[in-house]
Amino acid sequence: MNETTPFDYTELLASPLFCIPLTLVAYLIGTRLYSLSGKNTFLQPVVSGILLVMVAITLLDIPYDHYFRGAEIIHFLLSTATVALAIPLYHNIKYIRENVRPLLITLFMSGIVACFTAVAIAWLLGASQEIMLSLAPKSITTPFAMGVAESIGGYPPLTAGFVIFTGIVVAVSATPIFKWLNINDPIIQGSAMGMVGHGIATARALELNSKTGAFSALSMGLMGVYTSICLPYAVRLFN
Amino acid sequence: MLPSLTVIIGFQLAGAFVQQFLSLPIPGAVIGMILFFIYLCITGGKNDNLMATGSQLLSHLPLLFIPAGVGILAYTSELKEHGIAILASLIIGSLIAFIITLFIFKKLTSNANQPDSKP
Repeated sequence: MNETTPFDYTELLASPLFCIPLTLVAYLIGTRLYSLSGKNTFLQPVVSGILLVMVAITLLDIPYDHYFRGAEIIHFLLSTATVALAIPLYHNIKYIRENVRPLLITLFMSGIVACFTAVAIAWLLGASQEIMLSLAPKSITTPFAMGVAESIGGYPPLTAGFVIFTGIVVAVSATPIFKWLNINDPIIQGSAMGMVGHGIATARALELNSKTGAFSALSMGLMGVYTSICLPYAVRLFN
Repeated sequence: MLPSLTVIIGFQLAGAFVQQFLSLPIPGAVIGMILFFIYLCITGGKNDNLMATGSQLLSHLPLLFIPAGVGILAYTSELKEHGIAILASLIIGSLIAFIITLFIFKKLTSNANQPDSKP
């Protein structure tokens, strides 16, 4: 063994040169697992991608903030993609016009119910204020939710995890609940999936029916805008 | 692709600018999305390159969540401390919200389809 270490890995491991390919490979493995499993909801590429990166940086002993700085360009593009969500909203504009009344009334109440149930249950079980604030935006898609969590005083990374978990709960339970409540209208199915289960439930909705998918995408976008505009004001009111 | 990406990032910047200028409690990217939506409505979404680039970006949306999602690692102590409250809130809370949302929408559409004279 050399007395003087000839090469220091730690710097390379925390650089974009390593963190970007690590994230890409984890994601590609995730998408592969998802399609190999026949699109099993529990094997969403987000879930396996996050778990694989977690395992990798834990084994390689890379602190999270070093990894995040290395992969920051990917995180930056999340905001860019949020802006691009205007495109599916624009494509679905004729559906908004046709169903504007029930959609907006449901949206208004669903947003309140989703935030209230999340915060109330956590409060009853004694969670801290930061945890409750991180839970409140859990039904809106991650780029919105993280921005909201940050502005109301929650922990954005925790919110990201809560959002993904919520999406999986809705995606997995959707079809059994539709059967139980005898709901067959794709407009109702898709809207509720998008409002409560955002992008992950939307991916599931697209598998059920293209109309269900369109309404889920639309509702996800509307709920994101509605919650991110109203929740910060609601929190200010209570403080 | 690059000009289209530049346009979208331009709206992202405009959103961040509006957010800071008016010190709004809404994420800058959300304001950027609203501005971009208005732009698409005005221009009629005829720029195929722009639509294709945006859609391509959205098709890899799960990838973009990964750096943030891994951040849960930094909060293991909070998760251990509040694990039950968090799980109950996420599972029970989401199921209740989902069922209530379905019920409200169903009620609204069945009222619209049936004449009001019905008891």
